[in-house]
Amino acid sequence: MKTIKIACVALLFSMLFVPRLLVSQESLLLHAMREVPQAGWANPAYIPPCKAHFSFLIPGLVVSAGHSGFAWDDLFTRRADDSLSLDISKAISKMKANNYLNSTFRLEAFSLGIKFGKNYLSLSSNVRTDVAFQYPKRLFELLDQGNAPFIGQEMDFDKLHFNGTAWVENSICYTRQISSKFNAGLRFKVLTGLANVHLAENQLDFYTDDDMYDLSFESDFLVNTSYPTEADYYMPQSRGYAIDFGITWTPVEELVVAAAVNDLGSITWKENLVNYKSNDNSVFTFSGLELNDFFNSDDEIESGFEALADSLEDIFSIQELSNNYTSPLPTAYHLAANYRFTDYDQLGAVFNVRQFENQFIPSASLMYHHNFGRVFATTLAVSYHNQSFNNVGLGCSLNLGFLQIYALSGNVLSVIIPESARNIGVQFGLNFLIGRLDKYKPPLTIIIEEDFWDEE
Amino acid sequence: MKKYKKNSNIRVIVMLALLISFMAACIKDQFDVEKIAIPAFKPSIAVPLISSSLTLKDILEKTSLNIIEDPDSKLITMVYETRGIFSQVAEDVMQPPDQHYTFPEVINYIPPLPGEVFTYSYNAIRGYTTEIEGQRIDTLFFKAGILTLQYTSDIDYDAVSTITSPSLREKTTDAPLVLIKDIIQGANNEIQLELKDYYMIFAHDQLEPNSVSFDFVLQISGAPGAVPANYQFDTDVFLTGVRFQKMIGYFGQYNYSLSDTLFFDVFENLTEGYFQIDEGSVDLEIAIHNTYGMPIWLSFFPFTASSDINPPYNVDVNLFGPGIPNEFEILAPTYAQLGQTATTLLETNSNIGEAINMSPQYIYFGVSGISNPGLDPNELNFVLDTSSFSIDVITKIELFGLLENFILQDTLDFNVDIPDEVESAEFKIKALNGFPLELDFQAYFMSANYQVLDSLITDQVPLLKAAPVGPEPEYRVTDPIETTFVIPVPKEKMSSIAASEFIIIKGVVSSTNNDNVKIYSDYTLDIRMSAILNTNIAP
Repeated sequence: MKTIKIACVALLFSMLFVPRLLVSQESLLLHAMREVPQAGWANPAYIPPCKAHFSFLIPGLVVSAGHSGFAWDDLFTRRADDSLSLDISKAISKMKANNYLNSTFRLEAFSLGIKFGKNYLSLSSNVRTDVAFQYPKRLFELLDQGNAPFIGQEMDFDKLHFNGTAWVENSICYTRQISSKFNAGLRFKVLTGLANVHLAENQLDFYTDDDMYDLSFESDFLVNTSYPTEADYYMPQSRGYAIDFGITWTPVEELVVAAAVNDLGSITWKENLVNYKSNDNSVFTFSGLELNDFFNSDDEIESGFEALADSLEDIFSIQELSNNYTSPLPTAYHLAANYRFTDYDQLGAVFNVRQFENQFIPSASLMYHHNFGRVFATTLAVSYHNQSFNNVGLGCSLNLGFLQIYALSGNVLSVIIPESARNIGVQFGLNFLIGRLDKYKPPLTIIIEEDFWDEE
Repeated sequence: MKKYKKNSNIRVIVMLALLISFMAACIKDQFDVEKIAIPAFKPSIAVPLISSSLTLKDILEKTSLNIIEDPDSKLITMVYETRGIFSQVAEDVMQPPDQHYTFPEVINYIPPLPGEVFTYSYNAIRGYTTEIEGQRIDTLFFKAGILTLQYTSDIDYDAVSTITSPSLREKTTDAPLVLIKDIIQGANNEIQLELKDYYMIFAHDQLEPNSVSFDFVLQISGAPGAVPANYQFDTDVFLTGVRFQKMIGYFGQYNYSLSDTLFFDVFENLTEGYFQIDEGSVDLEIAIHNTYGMPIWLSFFPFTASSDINPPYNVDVNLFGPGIPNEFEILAPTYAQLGQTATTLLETNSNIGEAINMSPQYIYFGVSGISNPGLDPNELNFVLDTSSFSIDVITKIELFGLLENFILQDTLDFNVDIPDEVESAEFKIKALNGFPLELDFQAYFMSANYQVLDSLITDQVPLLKAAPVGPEPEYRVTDPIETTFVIPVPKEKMSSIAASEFIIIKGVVSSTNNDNVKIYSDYTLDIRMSAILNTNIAP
């Protein structure tokens, strides 16, 4: 357990500094891959096409990352000798006003589900991390070009956000077929925090006066941190709760419409706390050094810079507190529709919104799902994700008796042309399915009929 | 519904797998970070450098002058002064010489009756040898000195010598000195006394001025079988290492010599031009503080202002007007004012204005003095060991006049470490000038062998424009005037600056319309300076 926790924390922080940024698109594909029990992560109203399932010993894994700002290829230009040259300006030109960087990791250590009557009850235990970072384009422009091109312009960095969390999630999910047209599901999660760094408040403004280039700074921020130490690596008191809930509606046999809200909750951090807080509304304007010091002192320059350093230190002085705080989970909202047009083919569409610091980051996907008989199924998807349409997803599931192996990626182009990919990710796992539907029909809404168990 | 075609699907899967494998091999080079070149970053940084509001007092803070202002008019006066040019102190000038007195005596010894002693008495007067002939010392309080008595005798019997000096008295009790010494045959018969607790009173008569008296009593014990005899008994008295604490008398003529230079560092770097002071705006004050209790005559010569730039280059300053020597007697404290200071404030009628209008770099003056210039032996002088006189020379220059092409220039070491990352720059200067003075500025950057590499400013416009002034007699600035000045420093000039070892700073100052102006203490120069630094930061 200790090893897992340390690994999670290490992964969380490594993601902070790895410039490949991702957002999980894999959950989009899960809306089409309903034969996989993990589709329930996308919507707890989904019922897998089996009597029971469990995964154990070989855990399911999701690793994904995305960056809306630029792809690897955007960072470079190719020179005549075919070598690459770093091109920050080119990368910046690809950025939007605000850019997102996201990385998720999910390790499903244990999962168990069982159907009884019109109900499906499942248990799951996961280790998860989620790192989200939003930065304004101006920040990089300022670093790359200096402040001279922005003389007379307010540079507002209020849109700088960061939240990175690692936690253990134990959940119970109850799904019920309410009627022949509606399913509903609710997953209740008990969360134990492993680590968190959260930029909870941020007001950072910078202005260069257009006359004599006076520099004005305004700084007000609060960074909450809680992370294990060598002496105290387990933090059982940092608890939280979250829910997933969703419904499916089947107006006609070939069409299913689904909606879900995932990860609605938070963690309250109570251990190993350090809150870094700036002085409230610290405003500082630097207009230059006083020449009076030059005429009065032999150490004129030093004294001038000392005074400046003192002022800056005062402005950016940081208090270190130790207060409990709450950090939100990355809540996501899903709306999906699947239409089956042959026994083996269906088309789907998903619209997903991820909430991050009072902002909503959209994703969308069009999917085609095909069953190659009863053994093998695949899903192909084209997605808009992290402000990029350059995402082609592919998912597969292989069913060998009671053994199900599945793998999917929200953007297989990241394997073929990783230099152009803004999103990269993979999910795979192994399930044991009991009482799997013998007679194949693409698993849209699983209609649980009285004779369902007799079909085996 | 469409039927599932097994073989066709397998082919598609295989083809896809091959395609993905091929593409993955192709992209390997794309991520070879060792082949990636990192070019220089070139941010341009706009930064304010200077923001100040300066008065003249701020600007001249590092010079040796003092600034005073008229509390009513606020008119500024520059004060150059040299204070406390001390003469030698009296104990270094007046050093009483060592004395040696010999008292030979033949004792006609008559053996006393058993149980009695033979007593022989005599006295003597000796003159005190003075440092200067004609000096009269009435009283001398010793600060240090040793009195040594040495006895030489051929007396065969035990004897006791007693010397009493009515002239030598103890400071606290006023009692005369009494020294008793057992004279032991064959022994070193010497006695010493420190004189710091004694003073000496001198008697004067025509034959022996500055005389001191000694009374001697010699007691010789008897012995069985003693017979009358003549014995020789010699006494030597030494006064050595004498330093006085206080002396009263008439000390005659001592000479004093001292000199100093009053530097006008405001004109130190002047290469051309004048500061034409309005007549009556310059004042020369001389003060002498004396604790010698005797008349002293001083002569200020030479008293010369010198300029390397402007003719007539040297001006002799006449304190009391043309043709009148710079000589005068200073005040001295009376005996009742012993230990106090008498100050002589000299009222001059000098031509110092003429000297200052030459914008001199310095005024050199020598002072010679002589005590008791009247040689009157009836004078009552007194000195303490610490007695001295000191001289203050103060020049006050009201800032009322005109400057015309007043050029200041200096060559300085230029060891400014310009970061290699700064490729070029543009400096912007904005000044709100409240002074009625215009300033042209230039800086020349020079190599180690003084070859000019580049100049800072190419535009021939004043860095500061002079503020307009109102009518006389106030000549006050009516409105401050704003000047904005941009100094581009392109890449080539930046390289020259970085390579330079010396810098010549040249400033040309003129008053508004080259006319009379007054400088008031409430004038300010609000100056702002900022820069855009174009950098090239190599990885």
